[in-house]
Amino acid sequence: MAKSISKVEFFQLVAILSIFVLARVFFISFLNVVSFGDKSILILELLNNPVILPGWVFPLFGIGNLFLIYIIGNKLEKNLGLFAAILYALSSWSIYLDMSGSIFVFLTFLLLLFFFGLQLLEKDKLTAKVVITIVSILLIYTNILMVIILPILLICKISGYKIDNKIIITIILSLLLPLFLSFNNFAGIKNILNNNVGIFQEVGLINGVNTLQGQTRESGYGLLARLVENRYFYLGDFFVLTVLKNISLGTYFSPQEKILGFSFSAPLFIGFLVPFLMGLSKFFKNPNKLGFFAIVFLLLLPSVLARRSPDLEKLLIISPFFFFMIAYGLTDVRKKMSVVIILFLVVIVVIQGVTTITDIATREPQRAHIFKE
Amino acid sequence: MKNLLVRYQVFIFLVALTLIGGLLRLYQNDKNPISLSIDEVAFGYNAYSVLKTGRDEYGKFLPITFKSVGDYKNPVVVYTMIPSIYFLGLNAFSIRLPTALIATLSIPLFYLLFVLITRNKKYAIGATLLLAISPWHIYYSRYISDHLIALAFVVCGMISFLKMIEGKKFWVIPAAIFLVGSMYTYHAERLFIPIFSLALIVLYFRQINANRKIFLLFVISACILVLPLVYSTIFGPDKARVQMTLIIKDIEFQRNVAFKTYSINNTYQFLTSTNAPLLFFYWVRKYLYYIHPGFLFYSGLNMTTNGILGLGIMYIFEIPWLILGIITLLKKKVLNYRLIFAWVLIGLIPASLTLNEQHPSRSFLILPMTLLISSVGMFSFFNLIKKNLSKYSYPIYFLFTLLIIWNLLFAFLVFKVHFPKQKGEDFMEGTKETVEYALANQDKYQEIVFDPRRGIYGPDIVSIPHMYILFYSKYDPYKYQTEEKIHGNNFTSFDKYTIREIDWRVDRNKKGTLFIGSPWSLQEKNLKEGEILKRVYLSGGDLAFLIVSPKP
Repeated sequence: MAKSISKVEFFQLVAILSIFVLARVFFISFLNVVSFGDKSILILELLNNPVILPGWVFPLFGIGNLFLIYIIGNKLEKNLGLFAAILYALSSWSIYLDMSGSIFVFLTFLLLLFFFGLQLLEKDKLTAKVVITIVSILLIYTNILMVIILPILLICKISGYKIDNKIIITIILSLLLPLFLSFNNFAGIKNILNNNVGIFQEVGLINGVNTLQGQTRESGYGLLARLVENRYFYLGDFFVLTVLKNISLGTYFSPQEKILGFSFSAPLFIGFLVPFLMGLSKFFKNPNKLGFFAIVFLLLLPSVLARRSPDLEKLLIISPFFFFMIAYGLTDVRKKMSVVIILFLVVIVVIQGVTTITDIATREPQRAHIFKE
Repeated sequence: MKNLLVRYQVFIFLVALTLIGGLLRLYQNDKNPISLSIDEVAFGYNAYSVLKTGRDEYGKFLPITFKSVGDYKNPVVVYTMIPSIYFLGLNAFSIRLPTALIATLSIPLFYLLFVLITRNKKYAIGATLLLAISPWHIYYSRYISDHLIALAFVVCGMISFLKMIEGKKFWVIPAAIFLVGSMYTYHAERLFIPIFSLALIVLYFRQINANRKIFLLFVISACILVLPLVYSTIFGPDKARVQMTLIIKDIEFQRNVAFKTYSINNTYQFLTSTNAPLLFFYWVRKYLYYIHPGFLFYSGLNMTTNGILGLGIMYIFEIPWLILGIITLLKKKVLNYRLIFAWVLIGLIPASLTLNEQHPSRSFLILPMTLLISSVGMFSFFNLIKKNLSKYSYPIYFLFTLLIIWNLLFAFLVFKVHFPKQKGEDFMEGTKETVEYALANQDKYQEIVFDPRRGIYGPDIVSIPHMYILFYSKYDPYKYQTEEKIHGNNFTSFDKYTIREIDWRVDRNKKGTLFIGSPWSLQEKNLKEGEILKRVYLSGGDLAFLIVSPKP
C-alpha cells in the first residue's frame, strides 16, 4: 500500500476538508435546492434489485473526490493536488452538484478511484488490481455509457499504464452474467439508452434537414440535395458541433443558466481562465498528453450524447481535468506572470465569488418566481 | 530569372483570386440578397438626396452623421455611393456596387497586409485564398455593409502604419486618414482603433521610439481628424446610437438580472445595490461566445432559419486549421504573432459590448486575423501529415478534399437556395413589388395607405415603407425636404402616401383609397370579392402582403 501520509500532507488535507465543508454549509444557508433524494445505480434496476444510494452519501463522495484529487495530483507534480483540491472545494460547479445529490458526483468518485488504482499499479499491484476491478464493475453498473468508455480505456491502454490482461478478463467475466440478465429486460435497456443517448432525438433536427432538402429539390438541384444535404452528413455535422460545444471555453468559464440554480455563476471562475490556458500549454510538453486528452474526450461522451448538450451535470466527470490544468498553470504563475496581473486575477476571482453568492442569495429566488409564472 | 518568375506567379495568383473573388461578390448581387433591406434604401436615398441637393432627407447640408430613420448612420457609406448613383442611377445594383468593389479590391489589399505582418508569402497567399472564398466576406460584400468598408480602411491604415514605423514619412498621412476614416465608417472601429493603437505602441515600442518625430506627426494628424467625431459622439447625435446598442440594454441581461433583488437580510443589500459585477461577467460570457463553435462554423452568418445548421463565419473544414494555427502561433513560429492575437482579442471587445446575440457584422473586424490563423494552420496541417502521417497521407488528403468540396457545395446551396427562401423577410422582400404597384396605379387613388407592420408569424416587424416609396419612385429630394409632412400619433403622411396601421373595421369604408398591408391587418376573411387587387408572396412561399381597395 502507499506510504503513510506526512504531517504536512495531513494538515493540508484537514485544511482542504475544512474549506470543503465550510463552503457547502455556507451554500446550504442560501439554497433551497439541497435535496438529499435517494438515487439508484442505474443498470441494477434492470435486475429488479436496485441498489439505492441515500442522498446524504453524495457529499461524502464529494469528500472522496477531494481526497482523490489531492492524492492523484500530488503524485503527478508537487502541490498540483493541493491546488486542484482547493479549487474543487470552492467550485460552485461541484458544490451545487454535491449538495443536490447528483449521481455524477458518485461517477466522478469512481473514475478518480479508477485512476488512483492505475497509479497504484506501479507500487502495489495486488491492491491496484482489486481497486481497478471493483471500480470498473461499479462504473459499468452506474452509467450505461461506461460500457463503451471503460473497455476503450482498458484495452487501448490510452491511460499510459500497463493493465494486466488478468484484470481485463476478470472484469469481463464478472460482467457477463448480470449483463446477460439485464438483456432479458429489453424495454428497460431501451429506456436507459433513451435517457442517456438523446442527441439525435430532437425533432427540429430532422425537420431542419428535410426543409433544406425540400427547398433544394424545389430549386432544381435534386442531385445536390441528395449528395450534400444528406441526412447522415447533417447529423454528423450536428454531432461535431455538439462535441465542439462541449470543449468550448464559453461553456466552462462563463455564466450558464443551465447549471441548475446557479443562473449567473460560471462553472469555473473567469479569473482561472489564464492559469488554465497556461496549464494547458505547459501540459502540451508532457509525453503522455495524447492519452490524457483521449481520456478527456472519452469522458465527454455522456454530455455529448445527452439530449441537451452541453450538460454541466454530466460534464462534472471531467471537472478534475480542469482543476488539474488550472492547478498546473497556478504552479507556474509566479514565474511567468507579473504581480499586477496575478493581483488582477485574484481580484476578479474574489469579485466573482462574492457576486455568485449574492446572486444566488438574492436574485435566484426572484428568478425562480418569475420563470415559474 | 527564377525570382522574377516567383514574383510573377504570385501576381498571377493574386489576379486570379481577385477575379474569382470579384465574381463571387458581384454576380447577381442586385438579386441576391433577394431585396433591399431597410438600411440599404435609407443609405441609398440619402446618397441620392446628397447627390441632387447636397443635403440629406432632413435638409441637413453634407452631414457627418445621417439621422435617417433615427439610428444615426455613419457618413462614409453614403458618400461612397454617390459616384455609382450618378453614373448608374438609383437602383439596387448601383447602391450595392461600391461595397462589392471595395470587397473585391480588399483581396490584394489583404495580401499586402498579410505579407507585411508575417513576412511569409506562403501564409499570405493561403490567407488571401481563404479570403476570396470566405463566406463571411462574400456575404457582406453582396449588400451595403459599412463594416466591410470600415475594415478595408483599417487594413489600409495598418499597412500604412507598419510602413510608417519603418521610418517612412510618406505613410504618416495615409495611416492617419485611413485609421481615423474607419472610425467615421463603422461604430465598432471607434472603440477598436484607440485600444488597438495603444496595443501597437506597446508591441512596436522600439520602432516607434526610433521614429519618434514621425509617430508624433501621426498622432497629431489623427487627433485633428478625429475631433469632429469626438464632438459628435459626446455632444451630438452619435451619443444616441451608442446608448441604443449598449450591452446593458440586452434583453437577456434585463430578464435575468435587472429586477429588484430579493433580500434575505440587509447584509447583502449593499452588495446587490449595483448590477455592475453581474454585467461584467455577462460581458465575459458574450465575449467568449464570439469564439463559440456554433457561431464560428455553423450558424454565425444567420443565413438560415433559427435551428437549422447553416453557415458560420468560417467553413467547417477550417476547424483543424484554426486549432493548429493557434498552436503554431503560440509556439512563436510566426512573425508578429502577438499582433495577430492582439487584433483578435481587441477586435472582439466592441462587439461583445453591444446587445443581442453574437453579431457577425460587429465582430467583422477580426476577419483578417482569423484568415491568417487559418492559413498558418493549413500549412501546419500539411506539415503534420507529411512528417507524422506520411503513410496515410493519400487517404487523409482524399477525405479532406471531399470534406472541402462538400462544404463548398453546401455553402453554394445556402447562398443560392436557402438564404433567399428563408431570410427574405429580413430583407423586406415584397415591399418593392407593393411600392411598384402603388406607383403604377397611384393616379387611380386619392390616398395610398401602407401598414408598416409585417411578419410571417405575427406583425412583429416594423418596416419603413415611406423610404421604399422615396427610393423606388426616385422622389425628388428637394421636394421631399421642403414639402409639408404630417406627423401624427403613429402616422406619417406626405404627398398622397400615408404610413399607418390599417384598421379594416374603419378603413373598409374609405373608397378611392389603396391599402397595402400584411395578412395580419388585411385578413382575407374580412374582404369582399374583388377587393383584393394583388397578393405578394415571399420566395419561401408565405403570403407577405395584400393590396386592397374597398368596394362600394
